Amino acid sequence: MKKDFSKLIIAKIKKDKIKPTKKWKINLINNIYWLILSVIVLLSGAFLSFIILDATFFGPEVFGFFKFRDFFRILIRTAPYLWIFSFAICIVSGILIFQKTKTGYRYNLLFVASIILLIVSILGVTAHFSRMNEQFENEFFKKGPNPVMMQLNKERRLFIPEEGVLVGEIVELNESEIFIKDPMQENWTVDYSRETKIDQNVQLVKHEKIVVFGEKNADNHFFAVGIKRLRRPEKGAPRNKEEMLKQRNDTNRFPLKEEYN
Amino acid sequence: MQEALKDKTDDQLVELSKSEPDFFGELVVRYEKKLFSFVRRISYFSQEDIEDIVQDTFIKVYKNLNAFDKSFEFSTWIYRIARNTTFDAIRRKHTRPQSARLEEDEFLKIFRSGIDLEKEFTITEDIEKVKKIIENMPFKYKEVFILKFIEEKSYEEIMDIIKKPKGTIATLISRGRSLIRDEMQEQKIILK
Repeated sequence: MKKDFSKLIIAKIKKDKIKPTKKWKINLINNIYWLILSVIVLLSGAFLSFIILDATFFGPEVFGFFKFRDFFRILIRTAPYLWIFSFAICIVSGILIFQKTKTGYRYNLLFVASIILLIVSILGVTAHFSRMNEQFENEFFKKGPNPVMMQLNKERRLFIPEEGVLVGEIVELNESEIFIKDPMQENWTVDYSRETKIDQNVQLVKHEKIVVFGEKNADNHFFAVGIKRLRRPEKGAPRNKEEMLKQRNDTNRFPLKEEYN
Repeated sequence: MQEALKDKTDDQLVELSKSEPDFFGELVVRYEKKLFSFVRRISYFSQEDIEDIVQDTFIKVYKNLNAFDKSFEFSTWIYRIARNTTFDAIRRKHTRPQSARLEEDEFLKIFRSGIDLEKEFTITEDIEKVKKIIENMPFKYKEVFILKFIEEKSYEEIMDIIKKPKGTIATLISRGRSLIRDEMQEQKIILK
């Protein structure tokens, strides 16, 4: 070791006019990590709420239309993979960024992952139950970069007639048949009967978008076991025909779709 | 002035150094030898290279004085910077820290800690074997052994120096120990 090493260092500091970096600059870097982490956690919560929104579309009543195995096959076929992928990317980035914070390395990876997942789950579930995810999606479908395409993509995901799920818009109907146009603009004839379980939110009227559960029995021919509305009614909207009539009489804010036809 | 500075704590010297670099000299005096030995132990550089690394370390420390968090020990913080500076130098030379340069007593110290033997023992003809066992240990184990048994750092300090959770440090030490024991049995090293 050189003699007077300390003098050498001090001389270099003075000669090169080295100054300690300002505290605010150092804090800024750490705060940027926390800011990015907060944004990532919020985004993960939003993605999770979209996953829940899509996953809960097939509620317990749909479970009864299919055998156990078929139901899960449908769930896997219709899973919102874009949201799942975005969610996974956000969670991994969140963990990595947390470890970059000042003392983030002190915590076990599993512990950090659990805490982040817990916070994200609370945010996601809250967003779902307050229906923020649905409102956001509706807005996005109305004002997004390509709203028609976005809506179509969502409908196409649910269009798997060979697995027993058909989606489309009612173009015509009678007492035993519904004629619908699928997202690919093809026409289908759907047979239904008194045994067909029709969700209370569904209005069997022209232009209503519905999801039909059942069995494809011929080309462009489907037998319905259950029928559900493609989208949940908006907040405050009537949940069934009786409520709709009641609200129409009370406030005149919710006209029946039949009135448009 | 030198005498008065000796009574100051590291934290006090850090505060004083922020406005007057001369106070930083005392911190350099306190840590230069320790850091030199530490860098020598975790790298294979020449004396000149190590001096350059230690000098870079002190300059980095000075530049980052405002980043020093008092919840850490200053010694832990400076060791971490020395370690990072050494790794930067290794990366610049496009090589890996394969063989750390340890003194004979340091090899034995690690070996003794590795087999967790309290009583004194002597190894005469097998000393080369012992050196080989320690030298061949993966760097991640060797590094924590150096910090724990030669630099005599606590688990918390090692955690803050190498930026890994405490559990990982304990695992590395435990795995390193079994590695030494297995090698010892394989090479039939007899302790007297």
